[in-house]
Amino acid sequence: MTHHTAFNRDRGKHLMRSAIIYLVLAAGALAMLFPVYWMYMASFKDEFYSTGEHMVWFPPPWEAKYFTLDHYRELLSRTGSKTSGGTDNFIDATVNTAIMTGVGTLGNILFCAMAGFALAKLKFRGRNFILMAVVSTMMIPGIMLLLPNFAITTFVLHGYNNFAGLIIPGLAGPFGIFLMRQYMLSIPDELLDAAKVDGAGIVRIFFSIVLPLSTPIIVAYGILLVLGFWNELIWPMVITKDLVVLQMALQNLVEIGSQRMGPAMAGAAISSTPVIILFLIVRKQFVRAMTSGALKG
Amino acid sequence: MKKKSQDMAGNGISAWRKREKLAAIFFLFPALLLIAVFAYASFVITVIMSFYKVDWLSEPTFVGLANFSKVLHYDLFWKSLANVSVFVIETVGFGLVAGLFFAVLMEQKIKGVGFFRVAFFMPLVISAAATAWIFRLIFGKGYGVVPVLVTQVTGWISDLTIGGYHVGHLLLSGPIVLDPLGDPRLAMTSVAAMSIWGGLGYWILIYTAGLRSIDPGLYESAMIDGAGFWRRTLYITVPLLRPVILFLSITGIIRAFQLFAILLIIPPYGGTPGGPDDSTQVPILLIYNIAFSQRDFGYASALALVIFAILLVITLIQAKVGKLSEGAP
Repeated sequence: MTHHTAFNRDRGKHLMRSAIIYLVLAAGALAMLFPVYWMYMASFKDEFYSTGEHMVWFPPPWEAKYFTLDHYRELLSRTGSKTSGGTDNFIDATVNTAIMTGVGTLGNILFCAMAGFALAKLKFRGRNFILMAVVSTMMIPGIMLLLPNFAITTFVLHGYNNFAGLIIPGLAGPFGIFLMRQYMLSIPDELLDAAKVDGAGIVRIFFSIVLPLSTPIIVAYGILLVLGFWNELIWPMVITKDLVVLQMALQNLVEIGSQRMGPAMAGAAISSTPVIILFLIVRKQFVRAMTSGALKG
Repeated sequence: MKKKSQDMAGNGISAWRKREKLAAIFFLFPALLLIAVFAYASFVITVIMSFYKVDWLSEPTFVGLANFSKVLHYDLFWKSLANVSVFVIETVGFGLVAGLFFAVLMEQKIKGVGFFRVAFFMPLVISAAATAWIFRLIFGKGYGVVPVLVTQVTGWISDLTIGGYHVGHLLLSGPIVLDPLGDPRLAMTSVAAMSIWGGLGYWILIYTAGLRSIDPGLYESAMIDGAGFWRRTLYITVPLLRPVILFLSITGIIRAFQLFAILLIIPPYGGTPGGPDDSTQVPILLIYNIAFSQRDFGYASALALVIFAILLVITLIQAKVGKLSEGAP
């Protein structure tokens, strides 16, 4: 009998504890999700209902009077003059961003994987020195290098206002090389030796054995690269003028003095939707990618 | 015959070594070239430029340490450091505490934790520019969710009447009109709030990885000894997470100094980045303006180097303190 009530008391305590945990987590989740909800809502709502005392928090989807597609229509049909620097056509911007992200990500993966392979699996003098020289550049914050990189890209590479200048400086990084090298160290030498005996050259070993075996790290690192390129504002801002990418287009909405929230939210939604979908698809790999830098670095 | 095959094998090995060297050059070349140019050469150029007056239009002139003394005598530079310090304290302080708090909660055995993970990690993928726009809509004076709610709630309180007595005005003289982005006292904190929203998931993620590396046996034996949840957290979790906390605070400070995109988006119509009243002015904005608006690249480089030195010193001190406290019992 006493045993039974003790059990009930414990169970009650346990339920109470879970309820508090759920409540706190739900409050946190609400704070995290509300801005995203509000962005999408405001992008589809008549501005009158998104702001001020007349804002409608949960407009019923079947009430047509709340909703409009005008904000999207406006952004996609905009034809700002290219020479004034006020370009913010979001179709152009999306295409440019996709090109930068695609080429940048693939190129960066290839170059970092190549360097990582050499540092992990090839034997040559100065290997450790090169690794140290690469890794130590991680200490330098990005802002430090912004001005000289702008100068080098503009005057040496003639990369001002074109895709070359936009993409080339981002085609390799110390973090990626280090990540690839660490992962490739775990590939057993016996596998590579066996391929050598079969007469495979080093280039073939890299492409047909090492790269496929490195898929997990390539995917994880690739996710970080896609997010990095897609969300980059500063470098495109200094190195191009007419080659507008999405983040610049968002920033231009401020510069041209448009203070209207509807179009801005539509722009934010256009920029965020692809990366949110990506995130929902690759949740697990995303978590691995985000922690990969911390655990070994 | 036997001898010949041995020779061949020997030649094969040395030939392979040679090929391996050539291959190493081939595989390293693209990435190393990029790093040599965009990190090493870049760094050297920054150092050199900081001793010159450079505007890319006329011949650079050597000015010695003038750029550095200009930085140290620039009032706005010190103000920007103070602003960024406020931002660092708010974001790193909140991240360290709330990150651990939510990480611990999500590691409890509860159902539906996947949903909470999605909710907390989603802001990580949203760009700073989009974040800034969203929070303009949330924080905007007179139209944003937060000021509108504050005005409504404080309005009710100040109108509060109990039993015919108007007691509300004893608490509040009237509704409060909040201007999170336009009030110099609030602006930097509002920016910190946006940044925390965008980054909290990262702190949780890193803490979670740290929590999972702790031996569960430690908790079990502590529970047998009768240690409650808080004691376990304070005496087992926090000390064992010391390296994680160190990592998070160093990278948190470095990331805080890179704050930039949000500041470009939030100024209201007619305002400039860094406002109101220079309350959100930060070093990187100064570097950007000096370089690209005033075209004084030498001065901007000197400023960048000073910031680099500050970050380096902070990192070294933190690493040292971390090592020392790790050795302590």
